[in-house]
Parts: sequence; C-alpha cells; structure tokens
Amino acid sequence: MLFRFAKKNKVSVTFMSLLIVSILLMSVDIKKRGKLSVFDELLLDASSVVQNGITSSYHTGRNLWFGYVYLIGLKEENERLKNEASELRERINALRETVHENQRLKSLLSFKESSGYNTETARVIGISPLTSFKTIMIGKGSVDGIKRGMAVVTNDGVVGRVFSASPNTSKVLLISDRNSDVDAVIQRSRDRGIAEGGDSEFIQLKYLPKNADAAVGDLVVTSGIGGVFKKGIILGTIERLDKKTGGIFQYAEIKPAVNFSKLEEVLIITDSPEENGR
Amino acid sequence: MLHFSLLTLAALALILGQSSLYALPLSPNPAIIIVTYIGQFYSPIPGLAISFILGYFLDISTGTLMGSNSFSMVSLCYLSYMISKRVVMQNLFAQAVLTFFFFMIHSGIVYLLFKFFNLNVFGYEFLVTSLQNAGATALISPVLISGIKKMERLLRFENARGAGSKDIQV
Repeated sequence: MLFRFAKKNKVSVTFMSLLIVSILLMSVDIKKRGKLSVFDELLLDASSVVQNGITSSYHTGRNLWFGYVYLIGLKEENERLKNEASELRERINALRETVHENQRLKSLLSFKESSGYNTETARVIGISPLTSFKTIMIGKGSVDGIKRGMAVVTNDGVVGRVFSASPNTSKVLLISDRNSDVDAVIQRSRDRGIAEGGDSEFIQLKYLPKNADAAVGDLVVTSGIGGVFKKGIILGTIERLDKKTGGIFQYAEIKPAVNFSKLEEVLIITDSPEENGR
Repeated sequence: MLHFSLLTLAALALILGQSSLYALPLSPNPAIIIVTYIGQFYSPIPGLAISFILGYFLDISTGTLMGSNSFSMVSLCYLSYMISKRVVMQNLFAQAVLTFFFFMIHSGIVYLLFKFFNLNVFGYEFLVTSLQNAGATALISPVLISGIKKMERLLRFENARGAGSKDIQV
C-alpha cells in the first residue's frame, strides 16, 4: 500500500525525502559544526581546483586591466608632473637669479656708499662681439645724466669709460681695449705707470721705471691723475713682469680685477671729471 | 546527458559566482535561477535531485549550515514545478520577476531554518542584503537562462516533462 502510494505520488515523495535528508544534514551539522565528511572534503577540493583557476584568471585579467588603465593615468600624471617640475625649475632659477642680482646690487651699493661718489647704476645690455674694439652697452644714457668720458666701475674695480651716450643707452670702452689708457700706481710701492689695453685679456702696464719695486701679485690701482678715474680704484694684479726689456722701463701685465665677460651691472661715476682727483 | 550538462553548468556558475562576483558590491546567486528554471521546464524528479545537489554543493562551498541550502533549493524547485502550469518564464521580465521572488523565498526559508536551529542572524541586515542580491540575481537571470537555452540547443534537447516531451515555453 505504501509502495503504491509512493508510486502514485513520486514527485511529492521525492520532494519530502529530499527535505528529510536536508533536515538530517542540518541536524548532524548542528552537532558537529564545522566538521566536513570525507565526501564533503573531496567535493570541496574538486571545486577548489576550478575555483582557483577561475580566481587566478580573474585576478590576471583584473591586474592587466587595472595595470593598463593605471599606466594610462600614470602617463598623464607623469606629463603633468614633468610640466610642474619644469615650471618649478624655472621659478627656482628665477629666484636664484634674483638672489645673485640682489648680492651684486648689494655689493655695488656698498661700494657706492663707501666710495662717496655720485654714481648711477646701469644694467649691461650688450657686449661687443668684436675683439678689436672692446665695448659694452649699458641701459642708461644722457637722459639719466650719463656723459661721454665718465668712469665706469664695479665693486671689483675699473671697467672703462663712457665712449658715447645716446638718450637711453651708452657705450662703454673697456679698460682692456687698446684705445684705453689710465694713469696707474702700484699700491704697495707707489710706483707709477700707464695702464693700456691690448689685444689680449690683460692690461699692459707701461712706462714703469726699471728701478720700480714691482712684483707679481702686486695690486695696481688708479692714480687719480688724468681726471677720469678717481684715485685708488682697483685695476688688477700684476700677472707677469719683464725687467729685462731694453730701455729705461720695465714691462708688466695686469690681470683685470673685473671679469668683463660676466658683467651684469655697473656703476657710472657721475661726478664731473673736473671734480675728480680726490 | 542534459541533466549532467545542466548540473555542470550550474556548478560552474556557482564557482564563478563565488570566485569572481565577490568583487562586485552585490552577490547574485545563479543557483536560484537554475533551480527555478529546472522546476519550470524539466522533469520534476531529476529536477529535484539536481536542486538538492546544487544546494548541497552551495552548503559545502559557502560553509553555511549544512542542508539549509539543499532544503531551500529543493523547496524552490518543487514550488517552481507547482506553479509552472500557471506562471511561466516566458519573457525577460517574467524571468527577472520570478527570479526575484524566488530569491526572497529562498532567503525566507534560510532565515527560518537559522532561527529554528538557533543560529545568529540579524533580520534587518539579512533582509536588506537579500533584497539587494535578489535584484542582482534578477538582473543576470535573462543572461543565464539564455545560456542554458543555447546549451540545450547544442545538445539538441527537446524538453521532456514526465513520460512525453513538449516544447520549451521560454
């Protein structure tokens, strides 16, 4: 009878049987919670093989995808950071320039104050490319009171003299030019000579008596005679000395105190040449 | 052959779901879709057996109360079989809605079983999570059902319920 009922209601009986099995499973599981049977472990192991494969594929794909997307972002970020770094470098450079300029101007100001001269500060705006005619162009001219013949110096020493002045710019003939000459004196021995420019970077000290006490390394300054350069402004140091020349003079070469190739700001002594000679 | 293929597909869907879908904010349960589909279109006894195996596999792999998913899946399959004469997964909307409700019934059964066996489960959180996951499962149901149908076509399957065979009404 039971068999006949089961045969007639196969679906319901199967359903109920499976529910009962499930309930039994739950009852057993509640008693030994967390412990898997050998069959369960085998089933779990088998599934874990597939699961590991899928998981690793998923992670590989995910890493590739995010790696690619990340790299695109990285490229853009890299470009942005490069631009930012470039801008910052420019700003740092500008700040460094300002610091250097500040230092130079401070030195010039210090020289101006200590010398007691009336001076005008000017920026060097050009250097003559000709080696035969050594001049620089400065950014101040007759409008600023600059006149031909005025002495141009820096805190390091003599630069030259104003050769021509237009309203806003002036041309300065460097002391190292062959057309320049300044009455000079050796600071230590007070022996006099004439400092003249030449073709080289050195200034020649001419008409120095043979018995003059001169030595390599001696500082040569302006004597104040001649009315252009005031007394005591540094010309340079004796670099080479030749006492064996014929005649009554010895010959010396002076290394200019001013590095003409690195000139950026200069002072023009605006006291009239008539007032010079202090 | 078909039952075995369906079981394999279901197992793969479950493994895939557990392996990869955890990365998503929602966790759809492909087993619900398969069980509902089996209840609707397959012979009930093999269908119930497949549902039980799927539930059992789900129990083992999720580490939940052993038998709870088996119980729930068998119940769902039977329910799906019982309503198949009135409600059929004919279109995408019906597939999604039916899946959603079956997911919620599954959650209800599991919740009651947990309560019955004095296991900790928080009603509100369980409900919210169930609703979210039911939505996610409903969304993927048309895709999975379409996959099953393709597999059936590949196997040149003609749906058979009981002794005879009839066309699939999906």
